[in-house]
Amino acid sequence: MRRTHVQILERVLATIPIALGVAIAVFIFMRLMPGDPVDIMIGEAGGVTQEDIHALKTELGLDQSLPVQLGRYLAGLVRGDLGYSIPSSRPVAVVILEALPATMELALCSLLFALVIAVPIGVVSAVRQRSFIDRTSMAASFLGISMPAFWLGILGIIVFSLHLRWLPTSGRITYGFEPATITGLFTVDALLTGNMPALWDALKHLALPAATLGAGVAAVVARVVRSSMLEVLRADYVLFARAKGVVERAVTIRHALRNALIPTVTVVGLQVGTLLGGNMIVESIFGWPGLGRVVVDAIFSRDYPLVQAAVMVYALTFVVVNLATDVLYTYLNPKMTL
Amino acid sequence: MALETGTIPGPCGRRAPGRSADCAPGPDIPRKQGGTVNNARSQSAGYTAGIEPVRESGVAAGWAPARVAADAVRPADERACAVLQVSGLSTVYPTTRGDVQAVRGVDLTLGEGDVLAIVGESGCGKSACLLSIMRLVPHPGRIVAGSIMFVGRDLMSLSAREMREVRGRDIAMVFQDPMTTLNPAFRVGDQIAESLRVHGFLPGLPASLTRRSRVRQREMVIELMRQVGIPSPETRHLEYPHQFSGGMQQRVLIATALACRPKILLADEPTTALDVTIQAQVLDLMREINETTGTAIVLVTHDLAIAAEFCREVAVMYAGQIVEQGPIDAVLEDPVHPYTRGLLRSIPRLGERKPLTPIMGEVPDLAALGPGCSFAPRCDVRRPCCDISQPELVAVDGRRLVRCHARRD
Amino acid sequence: MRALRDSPICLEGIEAIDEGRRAAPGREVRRPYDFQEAYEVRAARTRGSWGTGPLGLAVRNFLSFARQMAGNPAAVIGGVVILLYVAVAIFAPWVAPCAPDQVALSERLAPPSWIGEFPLGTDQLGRDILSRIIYGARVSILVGVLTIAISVTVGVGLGVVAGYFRGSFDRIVSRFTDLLLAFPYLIFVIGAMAVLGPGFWNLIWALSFKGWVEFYRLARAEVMSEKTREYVEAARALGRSHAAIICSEILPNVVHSILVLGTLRMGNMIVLESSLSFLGLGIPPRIPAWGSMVNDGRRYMLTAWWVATLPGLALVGLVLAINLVGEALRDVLDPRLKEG
Repeated sequence: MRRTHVQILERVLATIPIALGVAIAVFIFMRLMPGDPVDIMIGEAGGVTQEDIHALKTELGLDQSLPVQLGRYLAGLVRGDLGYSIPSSRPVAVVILEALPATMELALCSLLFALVIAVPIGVVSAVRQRSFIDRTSMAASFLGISMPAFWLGILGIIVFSLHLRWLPTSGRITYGFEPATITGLFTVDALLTGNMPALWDALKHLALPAATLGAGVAAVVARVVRSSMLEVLRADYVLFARAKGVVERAVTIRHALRNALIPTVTVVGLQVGTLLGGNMIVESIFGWPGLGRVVVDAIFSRDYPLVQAAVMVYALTFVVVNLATDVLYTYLNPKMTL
Repeated sequence: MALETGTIPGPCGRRAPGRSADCAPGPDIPRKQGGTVNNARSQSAGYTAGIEPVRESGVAAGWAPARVAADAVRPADERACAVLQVSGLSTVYPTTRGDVQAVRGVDLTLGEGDVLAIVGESGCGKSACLLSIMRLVPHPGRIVAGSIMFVGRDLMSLSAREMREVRGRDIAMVFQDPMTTLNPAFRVGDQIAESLRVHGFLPGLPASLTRRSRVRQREMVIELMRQVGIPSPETRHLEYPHQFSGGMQQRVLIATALACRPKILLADEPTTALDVTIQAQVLDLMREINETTGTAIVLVTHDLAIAAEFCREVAVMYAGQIVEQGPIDAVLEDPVHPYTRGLLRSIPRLGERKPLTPIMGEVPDLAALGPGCSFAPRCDVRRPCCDISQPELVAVDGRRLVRCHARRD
Repeated sequence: MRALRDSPICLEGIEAIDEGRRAAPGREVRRPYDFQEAYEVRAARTRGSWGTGPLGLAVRNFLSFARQMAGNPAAVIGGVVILLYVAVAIFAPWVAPCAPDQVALSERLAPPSWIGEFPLGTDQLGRDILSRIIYGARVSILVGVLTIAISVTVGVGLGVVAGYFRGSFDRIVSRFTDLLLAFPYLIFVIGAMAVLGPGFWNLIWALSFKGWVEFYRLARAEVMSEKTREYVEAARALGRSHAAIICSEILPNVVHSILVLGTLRMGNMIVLESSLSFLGLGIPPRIPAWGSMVNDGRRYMLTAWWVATLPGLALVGLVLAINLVGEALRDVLDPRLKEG
């Protein structure tokens, strides 16, 4: 077992250069944009003197050479100083931290939704290969793969919010229902404080965005679970388990699914990328006050420090999720522990 | 055993002095004592009926915890001591080309403690036959005819649930490739314990979580592993299958299969994936198990040398049928069926310089069988009637059964 | 870092092929079934059809491929639908009843009607939705084709060189792809478009800048595995040059997988393009594009559902057709990638 920990530590250490690379890449990319950032930032304001521009440049550190800027930027990053948002002059880190719980809640719920739907569908489709259930669910998942999230979200709003009036069209919670803040995730806070009206309201607001965002992930995961289950169900150890007299359900779950989940973990990790990207779209459709909407707004208000920091937060989240996936893979697959 | 692959020992070659001697037809060969086989060559620590599994619950009322000793007196009548009697077993696999007839009317009788070999080329239905006995023919294959009597019960008439209770407890099976037969995700000890758990020798959830139950599981697993000759089971039961060598993995499989003390062990090419020296060790272990616990063994193999080494009785299969069956020395010394003769001619013998003659032609398509003998297209003593009608399995010189029109009576 | 961060379709297959990936040390590469055999069968087949084999054999192989595809109803439907979209896009000025930017303020938000002037209704400026959808097909198809063409050219080119010669070139390019893979695709493109600003070519470059990575990894892995095959060693022994070996022995064996992956990824590219246009970051508003049309319709969802939904339907139809063909291609050409 000690060997596992060493492997995981190695994996964690191997992530550091990638994370550093991501930070540097975002910095360089943002500096590559055509034109002077300050000109772009205040270009539309008009009536700005040369001194103002110079002052702003000094304030932003843009009068320094690029390596110096990069060094300052990385040093700031380590301290959690991501610069200041241009229109509001608020620290970027604060803006992001405020938006993060909403985004996390949405992403986690989507992932949960996707897994709860996809894993059983994949298992049943594999066990009953070529049955009606199998064909229907695989056709649905094919459709899910081809369907863009923004269109699915719009359909959902038209059907469930505007016509059936079951669910709210946008927002995270009805004004006045907010539970006391503990974690920042409304559903969790509502549960912890026993605030059932808030929980119900939060869930109603979550349902459509989470389903929209989770649908694509569920489609991919269902297909992966099905194909790896089909492969595993043909394995000798499944037959041997039956020859031991193990109950069929235990054969499917304990022997087959346990092994089919090993490749699935990797795919789910990769799907988090889709989830993070789709998050921006879904948040802007449903007016979800999270990081994605903040970024989209920041792009239109040319708030470059905020865009830069947010892109980095997304990329680093993805790096960390992949690290977590690898660690989980190591634990799930005993062959990794030598 | 120092097994010379490919050699066919004579009638007095080293063979297992199985308990089948009483039951099997043919001359009574003086029985060696069990211990003499277990010599220095064998790594196994001696398979003894150590801890007998005892059920926790009352499900196993009437199940005798201790086996009859190896040399107990057995009734003279063969039928009376049969633990397994298969008759007319037929299995098909539907394909797009038509139904592949993998097993065609196989009859087998296995007495308590018998050791029977089924030999034949790959694809002749040996494995399908074993899977049919377990009623584990993979979908979409199915058993279309026949009965499988296990100590008086017809397994074909059992419900899925009753059949599940028979599997592993009364009839156990080991497969060809231990590497793929052990679940890579679970500890070896847990896989052995699962056998005991599903048949009630260990408590299931949630009682299995108690300390007492865990200690008991550990003891039973370690004892089983020790019995099949796995060194230092105290630490190794916590390891995963990939940490074991092929031979040790096969021992784990055997321990798993034998955990509930089954009456019959079906072994599907148990040594094919192993090195020759390891093969001999595993065979020794199985022989020892047979002698000490009286577990009857059906060994499927394509290697006549292993059959000669290990079994008293052999059944030669071709195209889903048994074509010749009888005492191993009689079949090897004086094969009657042209296929058996062909098989023996295509095996090199030590010390002989005769050229090898392979059997010409190919195995017939089991989805498109003609009316005649399925071996006829490859047969060197073919007669006109061979293309028209199927020969029956008939007794020849009182000792064995042969399925051939051109046999001498 | 692992391969293919956000690839919704044939991920598990690619994941398995990508033997060259530098994953966690000692990570097991999953092999769904016998790779060796598949490679050999394929090597033999393609060597016959593309390499030294006579023209007749190539024609026969193509015919057999066409027969297999024709025998797959999903592929036929998908192919017909794609052809329809392409034809409509090419002949848009003749097919479309109106000009896409023809404003008729008196006819704002007219509902769809089969007999009326606007079969699919009009948008908030009274523009004919059918005509705009028809012109929108041009953007989607062009973006799909161009980004895949650029990605395949760059990715396969670099991948073949890196996989064949290895060395420091391979190391540098692979490090760079690792970095690109650390970004989720959509995040990367949104970030790039935030800097570049909306625009057709900006979008093409932003999409292709990350799009080639997958083709690079696929080509590199295939080349590394093909390179050890006997026929490549035989060609080396016969004294053929590296360029000749790459072109005549290795490339033909990679073509199939690239074709399959390229088709499957084209659908993704089209979805990404419309997602960005939906956010207002892709195609500039004056060019009709499905994504921005859906975005326009968001404000009128309650009163005029057709403005937001119909362009999306056109998009789903095209992507579905492309994916159907892609999966059929995979089943026929590259059975290794097949699921189940």
